Amino acid sequence: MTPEKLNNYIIEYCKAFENGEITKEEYLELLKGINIMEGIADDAEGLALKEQLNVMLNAVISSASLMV
Amino acid sequence: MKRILIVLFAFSLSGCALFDAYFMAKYDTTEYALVNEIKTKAQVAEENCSNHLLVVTQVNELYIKSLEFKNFTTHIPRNKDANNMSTKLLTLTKDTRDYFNKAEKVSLIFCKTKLQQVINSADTIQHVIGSKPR
Repeated sequence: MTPEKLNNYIIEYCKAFENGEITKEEYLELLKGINIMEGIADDAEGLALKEQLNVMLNAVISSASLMV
Repeated sequence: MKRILIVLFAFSLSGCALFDAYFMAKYDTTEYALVNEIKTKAQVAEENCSNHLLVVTQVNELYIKSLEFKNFTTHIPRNKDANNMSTKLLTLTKDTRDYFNKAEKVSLIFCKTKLQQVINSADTIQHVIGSKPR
């Protein structure tokens, strides 16, 4: 999750709280949720990188085996 | 350019990281189906936010499905990343379930936003799980 996206979420929730659309407890619950979302996004980024690396390694191995 | 960066990154990695990447868990249809089901259930629940009783039932189901997803990913070899994400998604759905069960009524905005968090997270997971090597 980009810092901009994270910031947008916080602003959106803050506005909803200030406008009285959500209670304080609900606001805190949403902030707690952002934390978890961020963790998931970080893990996903790591896995995506590993997937790209896997593709590259397979390509390298395939081309090496063709040369032999 | 992106490929060059990946190659440079690969050379800077330790052998262990390369080993992990090469032998990572492959795409699993059940894993993908489970996270897809979680996302779909959350989308349906979001549509029913005006009916508190119905939403409570649906977030309970959402929690059970997330627990199933987490349990499924647990003992698959070299699947730590997916397991970490499923554990976090379980925490998110558990928090949602607990809050909805505790409160007599929740605001419409909160209901929609909270379920949107679950939908977005499930979508993020679905995207990377769907891109695993075949």
